[in-house]
Amino acid sequence: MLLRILAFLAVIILTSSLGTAARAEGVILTVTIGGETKTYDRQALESLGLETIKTATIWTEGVQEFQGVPLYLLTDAIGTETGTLLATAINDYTVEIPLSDATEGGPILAMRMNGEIMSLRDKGPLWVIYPYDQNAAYRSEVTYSRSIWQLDRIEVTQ
Amino acid sequence: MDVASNINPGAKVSRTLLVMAGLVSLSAIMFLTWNVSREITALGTATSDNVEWSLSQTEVEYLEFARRAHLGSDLTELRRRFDVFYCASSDNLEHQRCFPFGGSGSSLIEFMRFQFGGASAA
Repeated sequence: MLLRILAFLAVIILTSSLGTAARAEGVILTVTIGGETKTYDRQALESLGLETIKTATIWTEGVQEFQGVPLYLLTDAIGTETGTLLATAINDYTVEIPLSDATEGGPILAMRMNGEIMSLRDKGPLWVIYPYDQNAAYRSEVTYSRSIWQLDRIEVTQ
Repeated sequence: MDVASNINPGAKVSRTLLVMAGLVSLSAIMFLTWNVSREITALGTATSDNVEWSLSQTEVEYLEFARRAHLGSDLTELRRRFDVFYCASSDNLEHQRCFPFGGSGSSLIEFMRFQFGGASAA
């Protein structure tokens, strides 16, 4: 009986860890534009180009180093020039990011904080980070509300 | 006819009062405008996240997790929901420390206070 329970527990632990591993290696961002869906895993996102922002945020203490894909490189890659980005998190929380924010020196989709991949518990897999320290205009409630974390899908609406 | 000599002293006094009242209200308007614009500038820059919002968000995530745990859900989804809740609540514990105060009647706050109190007593 004890063996059976142990086996059962082992199966649960194994399957759950397999499940997490599969998720970690899989798609982390889904982009929908005009009914078409594009998916990105970590590697595909990284291949778009990476940028590092060193900034303090209102959710962390001290200056942190964030590394990720600049938003403008992603919007270039999906080829959108007009519209609004609806960025949605894993818990279905959605914010609107105007396409005018996707500029050089603008926000990045951060994948790493201080060199470490951000887990779901640390606001990962993707966190929209603006260079708050570099630009005073980004230290506003409006920009903070756009800094969505646990981002996993973006929809482009016209 | 000389206009100035025609004005009686009473009218002169009331005119002076009127001008003074006008000046006072003008400076009051200027002061209030300056005050409002200063406050708008100050509010334009936020130094912390909205406490009520992040607390309510934590409760929502807790209920989402608890409901799935209660009704039954696959382990991956349950784990995902727990991680989202963990993320939201750790923010509050680290940066705001709101749980030791107020919020009675909320099962989440009671739960967190129990956890938090237990942790600090140990």
